[in-house]
Amino acid sequence: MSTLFKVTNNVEDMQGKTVLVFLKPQNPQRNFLIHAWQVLTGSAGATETFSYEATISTDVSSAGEKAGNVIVSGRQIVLPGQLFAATSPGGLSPQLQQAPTSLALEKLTPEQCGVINQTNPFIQFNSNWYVNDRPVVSMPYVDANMTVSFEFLPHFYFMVATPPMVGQTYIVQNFSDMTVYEMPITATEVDVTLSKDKGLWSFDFNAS
Amino acid sequence: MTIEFELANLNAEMVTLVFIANRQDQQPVRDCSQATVEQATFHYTPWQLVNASAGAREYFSYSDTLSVVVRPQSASAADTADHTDGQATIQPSALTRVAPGRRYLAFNGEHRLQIVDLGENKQNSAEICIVAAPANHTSGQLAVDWYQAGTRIGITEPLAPRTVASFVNSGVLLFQPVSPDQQRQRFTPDDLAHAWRYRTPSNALKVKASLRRGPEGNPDYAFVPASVSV
Repeated sequence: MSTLFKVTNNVEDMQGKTVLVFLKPQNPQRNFLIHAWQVLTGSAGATETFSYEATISTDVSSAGEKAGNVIVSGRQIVLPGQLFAATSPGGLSPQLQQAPTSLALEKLTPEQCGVINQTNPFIQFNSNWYVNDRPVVSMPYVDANMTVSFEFLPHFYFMVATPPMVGQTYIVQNFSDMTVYEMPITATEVDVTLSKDKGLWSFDFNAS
Repeated sequence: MTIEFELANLNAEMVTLVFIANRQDQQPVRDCSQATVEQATFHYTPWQLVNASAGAREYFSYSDTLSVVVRPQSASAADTADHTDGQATIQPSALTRVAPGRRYLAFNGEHRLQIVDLGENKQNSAEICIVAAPANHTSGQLAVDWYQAGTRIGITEPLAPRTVASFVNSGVLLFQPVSPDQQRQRFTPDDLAHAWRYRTPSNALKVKASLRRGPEGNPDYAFVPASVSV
């Protein structure tokens, strides 16, 4: 089921800032690299929309043979409870394929999606997670036989900030500065209104 | 100018080697009378080794800035030893940036080979020339290792005294698919005769390349934007 968010900037001036929306992974580690899931660049008075659907996908990124090169594996859609194994066929870069169910049951809860590093020879990689094909979090330095898991709730974290630079990420501590909205599971549309009073940006939410 | 490349491996269990073409690879060395030195060779070495697995993408960047190391032919590029069989030998030169349309002189310094800029190459504004000094200023046969961004891309050897090694980079890249277990470090120009040749249009800063195995198993590359004629 898809939910449509309509974000209205009910302010006179955005002052060059944007609305950023984040999804928070459950049990985040301190070294997680958090991505702005949505970057809304609407001007003052404008309404911008985005849709949410709980479709999770994942890929892994690793270093190439030449210093500075980055390799990103093919992206796979993952269901909760599924584990993907990263292997290195023929000495090539990591490739994701679904791991046996028995291994998934051993490593994950039914709510978690996971990736295990089974590259041989060993290749260290970052595990990247996406919702609706947009990046949510990167988990760095996945070692041999290490499993990383991803789980999130439909809780949306809103923040007003300067537009992120290409590749910019945030840290877990930034969530404390955000406005969290816990979406009712039955919502199909959410109206979000941004306002500013005495220098304080605030968000109001109305689900239907 | 830097050009960003994305190479997507769509379905092939293959490695892609990428080479920077030298338009002078068949006549890499000439003497003072401009005659080609027949026994001299140019060997390509892979500039990029793209080992993205099927479904993966690898990113790399290209710029046309080249550098050289001149060394005694018997020494490898990594050699820093200054004695062989008890005899003092000259060390390789420092990695030295070189520019198209200029000539450079390689000669013996006190302990290592030196490279100095001789000025403009009036015959060819695209050609880089490395001139080996006369025999009384060099010790025997030399070799020239050509580099781009710290990676060796080719070797010209032997370079006798009073001969000229030549490299013309016209911005052509050679894409060669190989099996992961068939990698090697030296390729003759003939080895790469069937490589896919790509030259970036002058207005492009990003290139998306893809490797696909066709129904009959033959690898093929596609490029966006398409190559200008090479």
